[in-house]
Amino acid sequence: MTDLVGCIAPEKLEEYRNVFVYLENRNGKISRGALEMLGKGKEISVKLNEKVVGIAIGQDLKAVADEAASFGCDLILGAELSDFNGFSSVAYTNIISDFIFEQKPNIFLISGSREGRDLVSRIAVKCKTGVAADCIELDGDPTNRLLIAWRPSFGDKTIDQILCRKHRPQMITSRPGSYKLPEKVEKPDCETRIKKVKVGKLVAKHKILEFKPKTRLDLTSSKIIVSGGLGIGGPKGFEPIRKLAKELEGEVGASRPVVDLGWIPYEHQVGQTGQTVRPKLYIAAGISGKIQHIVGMKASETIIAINTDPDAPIVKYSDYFINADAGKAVAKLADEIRKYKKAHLVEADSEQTA
Amino acid sequence: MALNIIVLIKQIVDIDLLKVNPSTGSPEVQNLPLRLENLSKNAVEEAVRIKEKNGGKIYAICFGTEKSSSAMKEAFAMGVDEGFVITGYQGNDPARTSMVLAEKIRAIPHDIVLLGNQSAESYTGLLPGKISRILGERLLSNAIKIEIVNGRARATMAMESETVTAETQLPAVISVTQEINEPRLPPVMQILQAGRKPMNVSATGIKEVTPNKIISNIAPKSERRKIVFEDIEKGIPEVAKAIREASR
Ligand SMILES: Cc1cc2nc3c(=O)[nH]c(=O)nc-3n(C[C@H](O)[C@H](O)[C@H](O)COP(=O)(O)OP(=O)(O)OC[C@H]3O[C@@H](n4cnc5c(N)ncnc54)[C@H](O)[C@@H]3O)c2cc1C
Repeated sequence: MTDLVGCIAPEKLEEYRNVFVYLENRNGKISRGALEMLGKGKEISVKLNEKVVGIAIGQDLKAVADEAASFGCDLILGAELSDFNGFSSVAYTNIISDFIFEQKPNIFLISGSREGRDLVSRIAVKCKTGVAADCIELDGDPTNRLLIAWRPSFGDKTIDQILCRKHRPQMITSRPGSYKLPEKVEKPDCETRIKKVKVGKLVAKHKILEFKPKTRLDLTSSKIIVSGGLGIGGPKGFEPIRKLAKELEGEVGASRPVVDLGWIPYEHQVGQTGQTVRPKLYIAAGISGKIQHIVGMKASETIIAINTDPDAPIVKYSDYFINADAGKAVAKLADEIRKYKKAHLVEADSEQTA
Repeated sequence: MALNIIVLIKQIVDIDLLKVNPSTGSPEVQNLPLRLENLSKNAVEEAVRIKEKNGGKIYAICFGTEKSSSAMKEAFAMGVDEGFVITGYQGNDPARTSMVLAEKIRAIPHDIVLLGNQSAESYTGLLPGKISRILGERLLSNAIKIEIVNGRARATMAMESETVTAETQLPAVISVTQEINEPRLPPVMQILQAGRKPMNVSATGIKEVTPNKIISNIAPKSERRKIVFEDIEKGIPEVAKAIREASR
């Protein structure tokens, strides 16, 4: 079957230049994941001495372009949709692929949101290149103009370093939350080229009936997270965890198996396939510290772990480690914090009355 | 309207039982029990529900190994009518897997292709997009609800920041999320009959395609303080203090 060919390596790799970033947006605002990618794209482009180019599709692209420019985008290529408002993987794949055929990017970064994953997979097929999905760190190799990407291996201890030497663009995704938000640049210097595009026929057979914004627990901006893993013993094990989280005005997180077991909803999952968090304080109770969990929380400022196994891998990733039963230690910590707060409150009161 | 439904199923090693070889640090997947992956069960369940409402026939395709007939039998017990096992799976390579599956899908006249939105093994979630693009069919992704209305597929999709309800012509590829349904426990009669349903086994000729190469595989460095408390009574006040400092 000739049309089922996989990937094609272009002959003249040097024709492929610049770091492209897909600027996923809604109502004139770039998504957090896309901003993170823009920040990474900027870093890599500087290293490779190339430009960072933003691709924007939708409506209200002026606002999107201004925001991208403020984060250091060098060029913005926009497709302003005159007859359609919303996301369509069919239409967007075609528009982005046209940009790729025309512009020949060296590197293409897409946020690994649900929308991004639909897109990147379809674009990869259309443009006959590969995708490294869910990368957790990126760097540029200026000598070979290559993107170096890291992602957790299938095992649970190591990280793979990945290169795409012969195919272009070198395409990758990272889950939203993987990187810090970039800093704004002092003097934006960005050219914007927006063309009007009619999607017409492309989405005619694919009607969008309703768009409803969704509210969901967002751990990516939480300051304090107390997480439970299999070591908490059962759904009831989350009771002391919730208590401590409440005491600290934080949120509750979880490892994947406890989500799979239905002890707590998916929106609490931290890790490679859950949310990537970077709180000031992360407490891991009864979590072993497999790599897929670690990559989702290793950027936390302070990490405290509680585990009955003194050799659990999490020890290596902790600032403080209590070798104890999770339920007991968490409950004691909650008590201790509450006592302290109470004593403090009394002190503050007595100062006021004095 | 009777529908031909294809459901893509995946067999995985029981990840909960996965052990890592302590000297090499790589996972040992040999000799682990295999089972039908969770999201594949959601996809099969949805196929059965669509058939119950609209009539038709359900085919399942599994790209796996000689051992995949057990996963196929699980799918038969849940209500799949005919199965295709393609052998030659060599590990996670979405580019290759999507080509192998697309080739088989094309050979079967169909209205709907159902699959999980990601797999419990890789979670990269690239297959639905790749397959739909290779087939040139519409994609409804991350469905939490599917209806067939006037010969078209209507799905409510849980996207990153919104839920979208969209409708498309058939044939279409639809990926489902875990929330879409509660997979049934197969009735005993169906388990007993599962062995009698037609199962076609063939090998794929499609070779490795992924252009990405792994050039190193290492454990990440960690520069944490690693202060260990063996005694809980000593540890609690110290750690409570650390918590207060960290959360300031
Ligand atoms: C592709 C892929 C993606 C994945 N994505 C994720 C992800 O996003 N997030 C994630 O978390 N995992 C993910 N995983 C799974 C991951 O590999 C591990 O299986 C998982 O993180 C382990 O969870 P755990 O630490 O809760 O369980 P275990 O590894 O079983 O650890 C339980 C720990 O509890 C300790 N313990 C037992 N009893 C007690 C007690 N009474 N008190 C205190 N401690 C106790 C044990 O010593 C042990 O260290 C993924 C795996 C794969 C293959």
